[in-house]
Amino acid sequence: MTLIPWLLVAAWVWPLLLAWPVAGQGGSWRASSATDGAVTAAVPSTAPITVPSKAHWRGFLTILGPLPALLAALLLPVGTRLELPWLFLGTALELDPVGQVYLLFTAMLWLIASVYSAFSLRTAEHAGRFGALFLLAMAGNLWLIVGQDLFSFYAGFAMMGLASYGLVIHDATPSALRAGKVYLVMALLGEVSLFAALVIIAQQTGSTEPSPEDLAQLTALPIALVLLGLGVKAGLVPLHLWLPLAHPAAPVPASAVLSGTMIKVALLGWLRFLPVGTQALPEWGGLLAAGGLLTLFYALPVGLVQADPKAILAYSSVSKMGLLMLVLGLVLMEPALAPVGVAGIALYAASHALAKGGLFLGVGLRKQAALRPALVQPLVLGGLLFLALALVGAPFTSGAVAKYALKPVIEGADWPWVAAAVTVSTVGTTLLMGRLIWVSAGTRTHSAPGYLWPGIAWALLIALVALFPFVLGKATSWTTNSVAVPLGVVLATLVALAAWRNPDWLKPLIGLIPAGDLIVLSRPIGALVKAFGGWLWRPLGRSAARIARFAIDRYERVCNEPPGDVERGLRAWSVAGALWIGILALLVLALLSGEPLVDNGEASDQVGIQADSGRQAEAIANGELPPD
Amino acid sequence: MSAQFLYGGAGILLFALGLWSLLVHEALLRKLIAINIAGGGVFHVFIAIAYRGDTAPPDPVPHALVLTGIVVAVSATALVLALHRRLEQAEESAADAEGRSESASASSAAPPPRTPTERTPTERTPTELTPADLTPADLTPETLHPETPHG
Amino acid sequence: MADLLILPVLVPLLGGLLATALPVRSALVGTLAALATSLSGLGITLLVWLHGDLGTVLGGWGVPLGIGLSADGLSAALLAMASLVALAISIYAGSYFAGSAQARHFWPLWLLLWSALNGVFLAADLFNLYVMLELLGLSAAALGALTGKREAIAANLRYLLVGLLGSLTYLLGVALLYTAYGTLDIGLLGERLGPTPIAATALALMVSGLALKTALFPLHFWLPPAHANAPAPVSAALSALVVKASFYLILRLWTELFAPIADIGAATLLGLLGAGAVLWGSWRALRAQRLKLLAAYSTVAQIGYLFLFFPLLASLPPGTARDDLFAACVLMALTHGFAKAGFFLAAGLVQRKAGHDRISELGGVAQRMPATTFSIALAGSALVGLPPSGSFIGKWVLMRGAFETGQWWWLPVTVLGTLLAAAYVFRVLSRAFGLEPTPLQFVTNARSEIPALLLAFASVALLGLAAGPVWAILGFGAAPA
Repeated sequence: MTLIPWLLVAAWVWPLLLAWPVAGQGGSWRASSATDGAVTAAVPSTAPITVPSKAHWRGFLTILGPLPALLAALLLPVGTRLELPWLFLGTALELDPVGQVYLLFTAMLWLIASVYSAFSLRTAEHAGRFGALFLLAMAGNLWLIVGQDLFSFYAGFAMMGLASYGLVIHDATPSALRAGKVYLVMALLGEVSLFAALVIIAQQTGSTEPSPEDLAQLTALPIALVLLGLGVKAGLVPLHLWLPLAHPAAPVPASAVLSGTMIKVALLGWLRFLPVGTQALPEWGGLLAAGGLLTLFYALPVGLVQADPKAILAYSSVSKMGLLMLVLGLVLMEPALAPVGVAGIALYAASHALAKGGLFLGVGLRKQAALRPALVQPLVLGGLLFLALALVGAPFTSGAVAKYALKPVIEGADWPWVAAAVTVSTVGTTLLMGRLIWVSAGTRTHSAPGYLWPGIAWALLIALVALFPFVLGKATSWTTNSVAVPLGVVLATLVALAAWRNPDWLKPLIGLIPAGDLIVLSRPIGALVKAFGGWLWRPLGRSAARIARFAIDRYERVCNEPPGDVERGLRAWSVAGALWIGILALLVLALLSGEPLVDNGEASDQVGIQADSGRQAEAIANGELPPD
Repeated sequence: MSAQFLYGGAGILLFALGLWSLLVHEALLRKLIAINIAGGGVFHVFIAIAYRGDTAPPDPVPHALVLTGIVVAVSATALVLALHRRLEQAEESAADAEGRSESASASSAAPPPRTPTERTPTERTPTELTPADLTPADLTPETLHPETPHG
Repeated sequence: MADLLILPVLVPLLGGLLATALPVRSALVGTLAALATSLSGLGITLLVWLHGDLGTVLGGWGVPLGIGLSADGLSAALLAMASLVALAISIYAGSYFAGSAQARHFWPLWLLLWSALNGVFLAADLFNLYVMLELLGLSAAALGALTGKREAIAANLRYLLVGLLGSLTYLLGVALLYTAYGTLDIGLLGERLGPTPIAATALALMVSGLALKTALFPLHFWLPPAHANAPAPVSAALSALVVKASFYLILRLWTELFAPIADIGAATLLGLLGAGAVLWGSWRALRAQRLKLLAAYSTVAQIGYLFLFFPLLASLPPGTARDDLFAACVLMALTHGFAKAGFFLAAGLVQRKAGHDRISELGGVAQRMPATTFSIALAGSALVGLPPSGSFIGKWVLMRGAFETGQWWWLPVTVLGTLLAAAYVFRVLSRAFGLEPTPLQFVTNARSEIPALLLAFASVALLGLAAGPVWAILGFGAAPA
């Protein structure tokens, strides 16, 4: 029985270990002709395989990755704890209530996505690289859930975020590379501010595993940094720029987990590192709630005009994260709501993760699953429709139950109009999902082999989503959204009918705002500003250019080299020597001025030593005196 | 006592002179001599320390240190000279290769790094020749102003 | 038992002599000597681990004249790192120089360098330190010029002269100390030293001489060309080990010997220079066109981080917080040793395969050598300071200390340096993602790829996951909570 807590370690170490053989998929560990085998023994490796093409089976190891985590989520009781003081600077793994919910849905979605990836990408180029990075991201995601200390959270977060970079740019198309660049820059900014925040939290609370009570003493700086650092991951407008670019660019299984589980960890981080329920933070809570509201409503119209189904889904994720941020903000403003709110957020995150992951996978199946038997594609479309309904929270779906769980917070908030706003957003989401179904229905299928098992796994996911309300929700919760969603459906149907009658009606709108909205628009806006500025400041600009050219000319004449290479100037002996002497002088000055901390008795002692140093040295040299 | 200070002070002065010369002079051999002078200055300081009056025998420890230091300085000098010689050879062969390739295609190779203080041979005045430079092998323009180490 | 301290210095010296005497078999002799040296170094570390500090005086002469050797936690930690890194470099070099005429020159010089390096870590008096530093500088410059290319010789000539100047300045400081205190033994000096002008001047001279040798910004001017133009194993040794030797000495002088004088003002000056190094080195690394130049500038930046610890150490009273900072500083130095050696070794393989190391054109080669690319990725993440590498813990403690002492201004420097480092590492790594065909094997040349891989792996996993032993060998309590 004592071994069971080790499942918490296995949950994230196991995918890490699998990454090694999976990386070698489609090839052998090393050239079989290499002569010296002695050194390789030091590295865990599988036996050299002489026929490389046989090694594709290793791709299936990916499927085994999430199993220990799933077992841990299902078998371990809440509160199971394992301390590893030797690891890092002391690590504690624990399954807390929120962590259990997170672990459960995260492991489930990763499992289904890994079935999808193992089969669909089996024969693709660089399948090994993709599989290994997939497992690394998985390990990071699971690690940060079970790890209770700041180190584990950050380590898992960084591993997940950076491995995902490889997933995003896997296809190496220009758009994927661009999306990867935006993703990387923003993810790194987020990670660095999170790092700074965690350091400050550790310093201010004096603990690497701060309790909510400890967190109540935080100052504004760490709170701001945590909000900022995790806000990037959560897609808080305007930090969401990477999300609608990266999620569609990644291969289907990667998009599913990116949008399903990875962005949710931001909420987990906030729940852990903000004083949720212990201290009212009206300003920060209000700010987060306002940001959430903005995110919620900003993403809907932008999503509606997208043409790529994955981009539509990405914007829907942004919008849903906005809703959760709104709820968290309200909880921060009113700590009394915390117990209900936290449970609601976890439930909603689970519901959304499964539905959104399923939608991404479904869109992939719609694009590539087999055309025969003829039933397949209609079934896929039906599955998509069901998942879309679950996402918007139609009655008797998982979304309705989750929404019901958030109700006390939304209705108990200081802002009475929030409930109305959320209802409006539900109508908007319904329209967005209607748009998704419309686009998916029109998608042309390029079927590829190997989608049988992904399809079966997907069906399993749909079954899970379908069972969700009846297992987890009370009967009263099943009928949530019984007005808003039908209203949205009616609206969506009307629009769809109109678009069907007159296909050109909405065309000008589609693609009006490209995915990645602000960042894509920044270029034309910048050009506009530049053009305007150029017209306005032309005379001034011309003289500025003249001055600059003059300065460059002078500089070149003086230094006889093109400007820019400061380093070369530094390499000149006279410059380097002058700097060195300057540093030496400064050091002497600083050391002489920052002097005696020692009392007089000792100082005079020193003088004495100095005075007869010669005699003493002689004595020591001759072995007459013991050295002090 | 004053003799000791005189000697030690002279050592520090020598060190400063050597340092100055090392920093301002371009030619490698001058730098080498400069660094040896600076080293000599430090050894002077050590010798001054060893002095313990006219009657007492001097402290043997600094003497031992100076002897060791001289050995180190000699090997360092030898290494600098050896590397200098290798640099000359490398530059000669590089110059040959450039001469050949220039006629073929001038644009393919990147220009050799030029240092800000580097001058073409025609700008050099005869007064810059030091006795140390006046060995036959050193009289080619490239070796008197080898490219990067001094720039 | 303490007499064993001579072994890490003596074994490579004898090995070097033997390799000189038997030029035909130099590779074999060299590899065996490397193995023996490495074992002896690790053995000393183990002894210190088990029995605490060791000390001995050779030749039966007594302290002032005899050659004293001593090992405490700090020297043992660096000795262990040097032993492992140098062993990996030796194995790699065996394959790198195979069949090349350079091997004959490489092995004697390399073993001499190793001997001097161990000598610096173990020497117990200031003059022997000078001799070892000079030997280290001479052998390093000779090794760096091994290729015989014009750029390499020119850069290493400059390195040699700079090194000579640095050691002479150090020696002048030693002379001043002897004048004032009549001893050169570190232990004795520590007891006698007080805050006098002479001691302050001596410290300034010694530290500025050593700063020149350890390439502290803006005195780093000699490092990038020298390290980038040397053969790969030599670059690895120069960047990972040789600059660490002079840094080790600065750390020891500043925090132990001169602790009564080294005040916050001067330490802040060092910290400012370190901050300059972090920003400037990282920026130059980001702009570098060549992989090895990038690695060399990254060394400049990483040295800078080590100096950021000085003002924090100076403003904390002795206690747990200060111990944590000291250990974190050592941990960062160790991590950088492993990571940078791994990086340079891998970069050398890339250069060999591609025939150049221009970053913009490395895509295909990076894909054909998965193990090497993986090494670069691992070492790179240690350079950035990603968890779970040792530098992550180092930076964590550094930033925490900056807040604790109220010197929050080091925080943005660290953050910015980390971002720049991530940018330059990912600039290289993004070349590895392309549509070139998947290679058939992970490792193409085990003997040269595995050492790089192991070093990189050690920098990430070994030092990060088990940082506790570093605290333990330095004699501190548990790692910071």
